[in-house]
Amino acid sequence: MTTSLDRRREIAGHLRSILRDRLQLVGPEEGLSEKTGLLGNGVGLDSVEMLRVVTELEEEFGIIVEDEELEGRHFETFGALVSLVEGKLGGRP
Amino acid sequence: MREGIRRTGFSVPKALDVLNLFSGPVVERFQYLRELRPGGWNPKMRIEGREHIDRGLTKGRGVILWIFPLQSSSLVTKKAFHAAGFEVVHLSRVEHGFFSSRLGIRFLNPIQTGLEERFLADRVLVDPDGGLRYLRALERHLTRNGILSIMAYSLGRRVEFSSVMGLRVGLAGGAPGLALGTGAVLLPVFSLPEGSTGYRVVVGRPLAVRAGTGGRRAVRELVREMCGRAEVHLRRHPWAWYGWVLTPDPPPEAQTGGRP
Repeated sequence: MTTSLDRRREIAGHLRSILRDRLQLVGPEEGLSEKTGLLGNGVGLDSVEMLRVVTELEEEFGIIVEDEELEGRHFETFGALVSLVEGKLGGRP
Repeated sequence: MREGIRRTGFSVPKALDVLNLFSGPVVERFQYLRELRPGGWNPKMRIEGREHIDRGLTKGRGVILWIFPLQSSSLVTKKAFHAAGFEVVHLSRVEHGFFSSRLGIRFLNPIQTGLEERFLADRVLVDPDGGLRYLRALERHLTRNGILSIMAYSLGRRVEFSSVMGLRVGLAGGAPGLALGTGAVLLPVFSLPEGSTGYRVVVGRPLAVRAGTGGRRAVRELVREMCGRAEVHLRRHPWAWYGWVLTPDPPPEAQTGGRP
């Protein structure tokens, strides 16, 4: 049985892979925890890079992040972005 | 006496240049006031290099006009592109305008932005909450082969640094990043004084990176190239640049990209 914690770990793993390997926006030496800042302070993504990450997540998980969901609070930290995807997936297996 | 003054290094042309530099913001305000009058402000303007826009549009992925901030460029470029028949969407900020107080931003700046909007197809505002809605709107506009204008300021989440006329200058990497991400053609734009009251809006050939360069390195390369192009014009019109007195400082959250 997949628990919500497992689901969250899985999303976080995909997000790490997107940031480090696919888009190479974060170096392998940089830690990515729930509280790591994404925009500005933290790993220092800019808006264009952040939107690329969102597009990758949409493709990876088959979700659509609507325009009105592109609020700053979802991109402040690694954990906030994981939560956005988690919420979009809802009860999906 | 004239010889004595000359020996001090003072010269009338130099003094006029300095006067031009410091009077620039006042002159700009007057230009907006003249625009408010019936009939508006009608300086002589011409666009040089419009073929770069036309050619860019044939590629079908949109065109980004990256405008180097020079005296009067905010109003002049919008008027010139509108007069030339281009429908331009402009990226702006909610606080854009001459006034920085809360009262000014709320009541006075809208007069200025309202005047500018006469010459724009649309104005897209950067989300004040740090969101990305504006960026998706810009991407859609470029996907529809639209024309987008962005001022080359140092306001942005990441600022890349280069030099112009020996001064360290930071430019936000948004415009080049957007061009690289969407495949839009990135064109440098400079509005330069011509004659006593006219303007020449120069659209340069596309800014491009060497083959195989990508990511942040590519953005840095485009910023460097933009600064290099600016220097060519500033050597002839140094007083048109506020950079001499307003050396752009990066905002506190801005970072210089350290990764490729």
